[in-house]
Amino acid sequence: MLVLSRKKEESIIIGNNIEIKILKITGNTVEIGINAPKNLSIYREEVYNEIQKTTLKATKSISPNDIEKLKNIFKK
Amino acid sequence: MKIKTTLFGEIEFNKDSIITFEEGLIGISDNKKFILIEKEDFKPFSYLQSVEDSNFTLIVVSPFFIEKNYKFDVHQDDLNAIEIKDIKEMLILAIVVFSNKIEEITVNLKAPIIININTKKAKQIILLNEEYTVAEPLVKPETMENMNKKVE
Repeated sequence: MLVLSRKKEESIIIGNNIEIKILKITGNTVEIGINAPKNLSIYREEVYNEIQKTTLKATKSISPNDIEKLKNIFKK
Repeated sequence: MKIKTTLFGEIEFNKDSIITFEEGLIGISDNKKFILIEKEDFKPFSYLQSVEDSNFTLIVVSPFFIEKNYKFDVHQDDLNAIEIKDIKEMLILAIVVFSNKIEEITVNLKAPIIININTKKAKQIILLNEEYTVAEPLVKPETMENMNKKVE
């Protein structure tokens, strides 16, 4: 991993169109500003991982036998 | 067009019905093209089947079925990404994690899938509002109790 030191109000530039700026440092919390093209999705890592894990679990949660069970859940 | 699927055998579908996730699902970028399989006897559930990977199938359900007053604040950039101009163009679906025990079936209400029904562009998004998790119970505990009473 590339490691760079930055002070408050300083930025790093990635490619030609992404800017990551250190806005505020309070204790062990850093506030970061990001300027990036609108078509790029930006996620907090833990949220990204949680959603990815849930979707992978969902794809593995169903077998052909389960379809029959699922059909019956809301049958009146 | 035809694909062989693990769950449904061979399926025939129209090219126009392909739903495209330009970025894939969150954290899973290798499946971008899906079809929505809706069957009368599976309601309220339907299936999102990857047309690129026969093993990749998701059960989905309308979040409004789980939560009648489902609240969803979506970032304008997410709506723009799939060219939603009118809310009527949008279909919202939540991913279900199935389990053999009904009480353990969960639904991801935090990161639903939005589909533009006209352009067939789709995106998995993260809601701006924070009242839901990625694993909300399909059947609320109190409903579960009522269901059990009926069985007894």
